[in-house]
Order: sequence, then C-alpha cells, then structure tokens
Amino acid sequence: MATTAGPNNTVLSTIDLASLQAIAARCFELSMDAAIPAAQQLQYNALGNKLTTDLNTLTSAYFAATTSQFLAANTALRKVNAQLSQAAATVAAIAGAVASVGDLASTLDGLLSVVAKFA
Amino acid sequence: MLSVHFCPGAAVRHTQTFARAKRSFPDLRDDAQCAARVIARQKVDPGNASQVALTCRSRSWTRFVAPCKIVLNLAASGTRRSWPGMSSAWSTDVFRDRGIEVGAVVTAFGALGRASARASEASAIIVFTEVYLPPLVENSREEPRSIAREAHQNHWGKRMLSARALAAIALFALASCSTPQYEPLVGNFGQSVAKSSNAIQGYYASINDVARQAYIDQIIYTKELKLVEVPPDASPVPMAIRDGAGNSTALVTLIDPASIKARTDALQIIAVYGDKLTALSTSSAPTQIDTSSEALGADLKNLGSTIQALTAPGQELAKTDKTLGAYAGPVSALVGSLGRMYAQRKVDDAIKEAVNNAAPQVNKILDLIDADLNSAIQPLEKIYGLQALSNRVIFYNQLDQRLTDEVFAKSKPAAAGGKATIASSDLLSQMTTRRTLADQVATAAANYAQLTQIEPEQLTQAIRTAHAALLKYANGDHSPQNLAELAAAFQAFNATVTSIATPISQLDKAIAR
Repeated sequence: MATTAGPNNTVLSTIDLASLQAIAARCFELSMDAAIPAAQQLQYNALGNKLTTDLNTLTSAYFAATTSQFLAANTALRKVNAQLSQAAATVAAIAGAVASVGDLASTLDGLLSVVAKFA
Repeated sequence: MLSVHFCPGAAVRHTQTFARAKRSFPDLRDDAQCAARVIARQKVDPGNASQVALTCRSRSWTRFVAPCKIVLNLAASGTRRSWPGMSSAWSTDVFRDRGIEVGAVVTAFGALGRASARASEASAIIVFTEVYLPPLVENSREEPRSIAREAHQNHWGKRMLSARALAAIALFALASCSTPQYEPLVGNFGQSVAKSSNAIQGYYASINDVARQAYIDQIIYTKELKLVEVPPDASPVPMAIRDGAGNSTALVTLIDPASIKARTDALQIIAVYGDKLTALSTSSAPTQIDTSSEALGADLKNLGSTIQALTAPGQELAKTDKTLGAYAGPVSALVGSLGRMYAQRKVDDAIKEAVNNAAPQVNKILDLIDADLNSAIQPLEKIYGLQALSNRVIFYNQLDQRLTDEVFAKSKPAAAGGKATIASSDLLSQMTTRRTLADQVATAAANYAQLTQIEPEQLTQAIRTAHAALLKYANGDHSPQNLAELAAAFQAFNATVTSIATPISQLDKAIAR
C-alpha cells in the first residue's frame, strides 16, 4: 500500500491493491475453469469485470488510513483473497467464495463513494 | 568506421604532429576528444617483433599512476618480460632504455588481457588506448632521439624503423582490429537509457490502449451497456470521457499522458547524467570540461521544470497522480547536481559531484519508476489481458449453447424410429461463426501470454547495473581492465534493453488485433 501525506498531516493510503489485483485475476481465471458450473463462471466473469473497473479508480485513489470504511475494505480484501486462494482446491468452496466476492464488491462501492467526495 | 581519438591536451602540444598525421590519415577526427581512451584491441602474435604493449592504470599518459603493469613483447630478442606494480618513473625508464620515449613518439597504451600475463600463452591481446604521432624525422636533423633509431639500435638489429613506420604500425593495428569495442563509450549509456525510456513510455502508453480495449470489451460483452456509458455503480476514472451521469470511462486514457511524460523526462535526465559521467570518467584531460553546458543546461531546466510544474500545489494532475509528487525532490536534486557537474572546471571535482550527489538521486528515481511499474501498471496490464480472454471465452460458451439450441430447433423432426436431420448449410454457418469466435479467443490468449512475459522492471534493473558499473569505473583507478569491464557492462545494458524493448514495441500491434 502506498501512502502519502494529506491535509492536516493526515496519512493517506491506497487500499490493499495487491489483494484486489489478485482477486480480480482469480475471478477471471475461475470464470474459465471447466470445473466450475457454468452459472458460477458467469458470476465470476461479471465480478471480475466489476472489480477491474474499480481497480481503475482505486489504483490512484488515496484514503484517510484510519477511517472505518477504509479499514473494513482492506480487511475484506485480505479475507476474500485468502478465501479464494483456499477455494481453488475445492469446487464446493468456490461456490461459497462467489458470495464473498459479491459482498466485497459492495464494500468497495461504499469506499468508492468516499473517494468521489474526497477528490 | 575506425577513427583515432586525440586527447585535446595532447593535440595542443602536438599540433604539428597532428597536422601531419591528418595528411597521412585523413579520417582522423579533428574534433575527437579523448573520451574513449581505449580505442582498439588486437590479438598480437608474439612472433611479431614490432609490437609493444603495456597496461597501465593511468588516467592519461600525462598522469601515470602506479601501479601499472607493462608487458613488452619483444620476440625478436627472445625475451618476454612483465613488471606488475611498476611505478611511473620506472615505466618511463624502461621505455627510454629501449629507445622508446613515452609520450614523445608513438605510444600505444594498451592492456594485455589476462592471458597475456601468462608466459605460456601463444598470443596476447593488446588494447591501444591512445596514439600520439611523432614529428617526422626523415627531414629533421634536429630530432635528438628517434624512437625508430633507438629501437633499431637497442633491439631490432639493423632494420630501421622510422617514426612514420611506427605510427603506421600502430594505426595498422587499429585498422586490422575486427572489433573496436571501446571507441563509442560516450553516448552508450545515454542511448541505452533513451531506448529504455522509450520502451517504458511505450509500456505506460500501452496500458491506456489495453484499458480502452477493456472498456470497449465491457460494452460489447455486456448487452445492457452502450458506448460512453459506464455501469451505474462504476466510479470516476481519471482523464476519460464522461457519461451522462458525470462518471468517466477509460475510453480516452486511463493514465494521463502528462504523468507518463513526467516519468520519461526523469529518465531522460538520467541519460544526460550518464553520458556526462561517462565523458568525465573516460577523459584523459583532467582539466578539460565540456563547453556545451549552456545549451544543455537550458534543456535540463526544461526537463526538470516539467515535473515541478505538474506537482505544484493545486495542479489537477497532482490530485490523481499522487506518486508523481515523489519524483519532484530527486529530479530537482539531480538537475541541480548535473548543473554543478557542468559548472566544475576540473574533471575530478565533477566526478565527485556525480558520485556523491547525483548518483543517489538516480537510484531514487529508478526506485520510484520500479514502484509504479510493479504496484500498478504491470498488474493492471495482466488483469486487462485476462479480462479480455475471460470475456471472449464466456461469450463463446454462451453463443455455442445458443447456436446448438437454434440448430436443433430448426432441424426436421425425426420420423418414427429415425433421426432428426440438420441442414448442411446450418451446420456450415455454425462452424464459420464458431471459427470466428474461436480465433478471437486464441488472439486474446496470445495477447495475455505476451503481456505476462513482458517484465519492464528489467529495464530499470539494466539501468541500475550499467550505472553501478559506471560509478565503479568513475571511482576506480581507470585502468584499461576496468574500462573493459565498463564497456562490457554497457554492451550488456544495450543488449538487455533491446531484448526487452522489442516485445514492448510490438505490444500495440498485439492489442490492436
């Protein structure tokens, strides 16, 4: 995570971009995995597209590092990333991971509303 | 084109000599500087009595610096001697004893390769660093000591070897050299950095192309969306066409071209610095300094001011490109240090300035570019590539199922006990559609493979390695061995840059497919 100084000496930071990049890439990989049911392949593709769009903005977006939204987003990113890494081993777990990625996308939407105001 | 470089200082002292040499060898360069003191290398047959070679750790012939190693290859007299660790005075005496007046006539400062130090070797490598042509002696009775005569008297029997002949020998050695490896050292670093800079710029620019393609892909493969329209939940993307809701897309650019230019400008400053340090380090005229500093200073000022202006408080770009601000300090410091390098009247002082003040800034700038590439640009490139592939695969699978359903719907019902029949034209049409889509999938897969193989950070790593070699040489004793290492480092640098820059330059074509 890159950090920079903001107004009034607040610490601004990007979100955990490495985790978000890994999740987006994993979504696209799973969307082409023959072991995944077709319906979930579609879901992963849609989520991958959504997260990639978010990445465009979040790559250069800085947030106050101590806000609850920022902390929650980073926690969710790491949790989902770990979940997807483990889920790759079992198809059943992958089904559960779809829901988690969907929740993450919602969390990022909340965060993105903050960056819009910040900019 | 082989050419002989003259040390400017020596040229002043030997103006008459140079003029004569010029008549004999018209391709000698009038404006040559002694930037590349090692100008040629030749494998020497020990049986050739006319060769004299030495290595010395000297910055120039006027400044012998101990220790030096001299190997005289005097096959005619059957001797082969080498004196490692020789002092400057001794080295001069050794040559005087043999009728060779160092610096007065032809002096081939050379380096014998490691092999030459071993007596068992059948041949040796001579590196000629400088060639000074003596006044011609044929028509001059005033010439007190002719190297030719001395050489003849002391070692080479009754054969007269004139100064012109000696000069010719030295130049013949140069002319017959197959690889004049060290001549173009000055400019090598800058050219390779410039090539790296172009490649990095191309890589940065390619992400805008890839992002644009990804955006258009989303439009194509998401039937709910139209061009210049983003999903309702999408957030603003910098520097892009805005939709009706005020959101922006990546249709124009994802990364502002000004951001890219600021970074490649920083690399350009490094190129100027590298060339200047190379020129200083390989100069054999310690007090000579480049006089073109004024024009260059203006260029540098422009380059440096680009980043300063972009990162000034309140600038729009500073809001969206926060890492750009980190460049301002190192770039400003490097420009200042470079200005002082040009302002110095002494080479040693200028080198000191480069090593102590400029070099750390170069490393900081390279660190920042690395961070940009590794944390943002490269991962995004790969994700976009994966996205393009995924979208096409999903679309193919969906359409494949639909085509299958359609063709069966159109098929004639099966008679009792028989099979349903499908028209050949329908099957052919399906095959054509599938082939078209499959080709698109294959292209996307190839593009993704290409994106994953490109590692632009190797470019900055190559700059680091060449820079380290340059600093080592600048800090070192300027021996021919070290110069050879520097030349090798520059060659490796150029080779690395070329190998990486080529696939990056082809990236645009791949994306456009």
